[in-house]
Amino acid sequence: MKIAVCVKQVPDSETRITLAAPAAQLDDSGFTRVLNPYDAYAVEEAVKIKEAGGEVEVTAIIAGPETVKETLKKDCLAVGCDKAIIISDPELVGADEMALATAMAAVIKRDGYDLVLTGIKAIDDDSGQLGIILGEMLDMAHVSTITKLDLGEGSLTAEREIEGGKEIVEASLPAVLTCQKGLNEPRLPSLPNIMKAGMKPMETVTCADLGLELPTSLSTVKTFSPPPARGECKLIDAEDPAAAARELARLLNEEAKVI
Amino acid sequence: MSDAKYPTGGEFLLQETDPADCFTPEDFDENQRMFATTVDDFTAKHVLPVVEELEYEGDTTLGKGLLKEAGTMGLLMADIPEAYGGMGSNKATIMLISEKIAHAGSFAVTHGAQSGIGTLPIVYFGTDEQKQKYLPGIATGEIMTCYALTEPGSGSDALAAATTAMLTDDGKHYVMNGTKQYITNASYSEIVILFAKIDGDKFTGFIVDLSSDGVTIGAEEKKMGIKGSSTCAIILEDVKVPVENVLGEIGKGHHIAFNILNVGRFKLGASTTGGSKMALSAAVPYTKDRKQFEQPLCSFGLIRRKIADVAAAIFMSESMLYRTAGLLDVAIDTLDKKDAGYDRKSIQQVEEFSIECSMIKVFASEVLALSADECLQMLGGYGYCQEYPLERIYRDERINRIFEGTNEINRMLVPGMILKKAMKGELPFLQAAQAVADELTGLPSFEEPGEPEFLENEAKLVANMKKIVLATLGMAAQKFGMELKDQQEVLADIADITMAAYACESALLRTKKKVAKDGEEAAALMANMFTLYVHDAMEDVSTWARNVMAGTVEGDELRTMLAGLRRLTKHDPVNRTKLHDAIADKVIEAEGYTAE
Ligand SMILES: Cc1cc2nc3c(=O)[nH]c(=O)nc-3n(C[C@H](O)[C@H](O)[C@H](O)COP(=O)(O)OP(=O)(O)OC[C@H]3O[C@@H](n4cnc5c(N)ncnc54)[C@H](O)[C@@H]3O)c2cc1C
Repeated sequence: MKIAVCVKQVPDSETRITLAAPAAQLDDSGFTRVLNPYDAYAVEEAVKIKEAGGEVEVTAIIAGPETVKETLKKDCLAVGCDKAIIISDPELVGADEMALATAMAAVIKRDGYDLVLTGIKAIDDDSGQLGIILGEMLDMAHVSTITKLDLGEGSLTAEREIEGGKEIVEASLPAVLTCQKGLNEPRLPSLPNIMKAGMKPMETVTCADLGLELPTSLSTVKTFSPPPARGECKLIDAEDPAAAARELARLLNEEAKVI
Repeated sequence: MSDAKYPTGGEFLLQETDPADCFTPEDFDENQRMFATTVDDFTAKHVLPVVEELEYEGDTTLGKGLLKEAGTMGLLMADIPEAYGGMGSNKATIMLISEKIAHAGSFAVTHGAQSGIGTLPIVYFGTDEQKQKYLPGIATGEIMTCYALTEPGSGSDALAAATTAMLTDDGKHYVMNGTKQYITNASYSEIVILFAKIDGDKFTGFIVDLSSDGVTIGAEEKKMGIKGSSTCAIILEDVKVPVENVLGEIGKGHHIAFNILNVGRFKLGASTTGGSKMALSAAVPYTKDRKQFEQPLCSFGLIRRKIADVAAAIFMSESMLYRTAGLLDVAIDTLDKKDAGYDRKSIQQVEEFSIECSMIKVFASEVLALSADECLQMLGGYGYCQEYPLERIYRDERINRIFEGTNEINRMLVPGMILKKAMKGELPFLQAAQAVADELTGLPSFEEPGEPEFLENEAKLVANMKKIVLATLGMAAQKFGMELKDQQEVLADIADITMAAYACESALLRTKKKVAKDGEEAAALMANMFTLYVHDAMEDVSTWARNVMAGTVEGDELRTMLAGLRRLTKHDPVNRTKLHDAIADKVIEAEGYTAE
């Protein structure tokens, strides 16, 4: 069985973003970059499937510049992925999910995979589209937001989060699944495995290698601006709940003008 | 070993070092950097969630599970050779791991006892059978180990141990009796490296199974800090230990004890450097948020001064620490890994640098004392309360000046070991000392200084500090001869001068290396921290040296020496406020220590 895990490198959520005024570009020179936390669930799930036995090969696929190699090595190869493929192309810089999925789908088609795992979304742009587009492009079954996975012969059963409950979905393989928090507890790499990860194969391909013309991005980011300053917080004395509720309603109506 | 091509300890006093040959934290490779973040991740995931239980409730039982977890992540195997299930890492990597694990608070001490003092005696002095039997399990955390040297009646004077080991009539066992005290991890360890006197006089190392009949583990000590680490006595009553558990040679236990202390010292230098960084990271963000007089604390000059002084001191510790790691690695790399005696020889190489190991221990633990104290002060009353980590860091800091050889004992060792090497002909110290003495008593030169190059004046201060070490130690050795060992105050002052010289030179070399690679602008913060520190240090060196001289000679001789000393210590003050500001800006922006 061949599993592809589509991953992304994102700024660490603790990275400080200094942005005083609207700007066309983020100054990302000082960013620490990590594996997208949702993708870590995908990696962990793939490695668990591999550890459960059978002939399983796990490949991490990522799009990005040379700097993604550290993430691949430490957070994918050192925790159990067998190899990695980097799609490195200047055209992919700032590309939207459509373009990204086109490139990833090309690699997945080229090598042929039984299962494609990815995070529900990346914490940087929060769009949550890649997995869904991949399912469509690859013509594979697609289950999103999974929190539990059982693999059968040529099929799978997954639990997915829905509002107010969970849904149990059966699907046939090959399939694309997007992984949600709760699916598993991603492990940390061990020091000896970090050393060994340096020996695992890492392939770099360009869009030309894949014979690809990327679609023009449907969306482009024009400016980044800091969030508006937060307003004053008003505390209502809650000694008498009924009076407090009346005061809250009044403020919402008269001052905030939202009701 | 005077003709050796590889470096040897104490040599820095007598020669110039090329910055390119000085290992610095900027030289870490990708694997090492990944190890560092992995240790941080381990702490965040496994230790920080139980901080309350460990550090404030003093639950010492958690250490065992955490050690097992650390074992599965390979955090216990850096010191163990690959042939026995370890990683056989170099010293720079080992120090980096020790530095990073410091953020785990008490668990750092637990980790150090297992992976350092509990492991290394077997690595360096064990037989192949002993290594096979214990090291793979120790590497993964399946076997917990500890180290018992101290006794109620013998602490600093470790060789005065009263624990005895008597051979049984059939020659198969030793019967041991005695009490070991303050043993980290004793409560849950399977084995202990324990020192006892065979027949009451031959000081010898043993590997003792703690499940043996006659072993009792005492109650947990109620400690001031590192409350999550386990510290108990081990009481031995007619404990039978098989003869094959003797570690190293009979009567040579002091070799093991002293060499392991050496390694323990540089590791402690690393963990205290990590601790200092933790203190600064715990304080700086607070000074940005907290406002008084409608201004953030970090805008006040006196707070900025604290931030800058602490950062500069950490820069010194860090620079001397990794410089020493590099020296050790170069020395060890000259050995043949396939040589059956490789492990034993590599500890001999570490022994060559016992001067540096003691200096790092004392210097870095005292920088931590400064960091904890000043960082707590930055938080005012909040620093004094347990809601913020500085209250704990302040308590935890204290032990580092006591164990692995008290700072007093280590101070005595520094000049002592320099002289020992000189006597053995390993360091051409006496000739060099004579040359400096001649310079001091000779006529001053009157060359007009030109416009100084970048850091040229400061480099001169460093060179002069080294001369002052030679002058004071040479003078004291000549005057007191064999009695010098009883002149503790003189020796301590000389130790302090030596440490200042080593720290300042290490920081200078690191800064110069950075300048050579990335230019003066990129090295500006390093240069500022070094400049700030070296000028202050020269004032201290001047005081220490004057005291040594006054405690050693008198009359005309003293006056001539003091005049010579004034030439060496002369320096114009720098604008400290400007330096403090430049450094504080960077540290505040980074919300913690940085050298970038
Ligand atoms: C929390 C904790 C954990 C420990 N873990 C371990 C462990 O795992 N294994 C182990 O073997 N030990 C351990 N120790 C013991 C520790 O190493 C000793 O406490 C230390 O070596 C000092 O010995 P002492 O306490 O007997 O002090 P003493 O030797 O009695 O010293 C008291 C004071 O006198 C000074 N002094 C002593 N001799 C001289 C001298 N010649 N010249 C000048 N000053 C001198 C000392 O510097 C000190 O200031 C631990 C201790 C603690 C508190």
